[in-house]
Amino acid sequence: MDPILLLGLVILGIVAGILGALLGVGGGIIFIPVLTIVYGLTAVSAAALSLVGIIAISSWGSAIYLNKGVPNIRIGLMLEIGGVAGAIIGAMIAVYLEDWILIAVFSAVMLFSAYRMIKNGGSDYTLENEDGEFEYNDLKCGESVCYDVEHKAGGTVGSIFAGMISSMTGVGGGVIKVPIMNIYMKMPIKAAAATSSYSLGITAFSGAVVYLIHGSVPLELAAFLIIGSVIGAEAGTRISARIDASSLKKYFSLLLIASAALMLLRAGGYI
Amino acid sequence: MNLLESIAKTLRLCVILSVVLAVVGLIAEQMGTSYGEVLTWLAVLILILSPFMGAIAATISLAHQKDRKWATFGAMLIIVSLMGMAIALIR
Repeated sequence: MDPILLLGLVILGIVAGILGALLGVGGGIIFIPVLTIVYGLTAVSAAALSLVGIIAISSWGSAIYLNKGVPNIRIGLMLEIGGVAGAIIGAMIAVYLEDWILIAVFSAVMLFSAYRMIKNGGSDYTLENEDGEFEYNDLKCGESVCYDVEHKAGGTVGSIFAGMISSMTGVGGGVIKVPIMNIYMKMPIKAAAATSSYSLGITAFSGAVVYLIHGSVPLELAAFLIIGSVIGAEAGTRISARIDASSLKKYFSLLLIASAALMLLRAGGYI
Repeated sequence: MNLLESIAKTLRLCVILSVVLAVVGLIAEQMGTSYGEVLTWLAVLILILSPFMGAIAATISLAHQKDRKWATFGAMLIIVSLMGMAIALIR
């Protein structure tokens, strides 16, 4: 492949890592449109490569947040039982589906992500309780916050759907998991976002391993994407600690809508 | 070592190892050696396995803390993940 396109993958990883940390997304909604439209990869190869990039961002970013005591590992492990089961089912189904179906599902996820960024940017449905079962460190005020979690079993079932969408389309599934944890299970939004960032790596792992075994991961491209994604994840977590990304979300949601439209046009054979 | 620290260290170690192997693999491929692609494949494999290794570290740490309820969830996650890998290998 052209060296400029390979260098472009490193830059793509860096951009996805930074935006992922700033906007609380896994990176898939950035990877997939670029890999399919610019690099011309099939939906399956793009999904496989995207999952590798997501794991790089998730693993490196989570390691930083874990040291700060934000994610809820116990809830993350429980939800991922459903997430991993869903991801395995999704990866198996994806191999037999037509490209246009995967692109249509992905476009729907992108439009839903854009809707959530516009509509619910600052909402928080927390069940804070001084004697709560769990706690996290609020990095902004430097205090430890105790909270309870509701509907644990229901959340695990919901994670099956998130896992299926993740492995079928190559997104991390954070756009589904964060609302499940925050709105349905009443986890504080910051703890939910950090837990999602950790757990989407586990979901992506189970989908990616199936793609790797089936030889669907373009190895050379993956190596360049890994390098860029790790650099981006490190830079993103540093930048996100310094700036408020709420206004960025509105503009990014417009970009998501435009990308979804482009993807649908490509699926229909118009571009 | 506490729960969060053990997972963070596991994730970091896997990612660093993967990046090093990816760089060495790419250089080896450019030099035309036969093992370049193998190293790149290993780099991708280690990266993909890093969240799974993190889950194993979490489960061991929870079991060490005698937190049986959550260690059981961790063990269940590992079993489901292994089953997924086995299904993928068989197919």
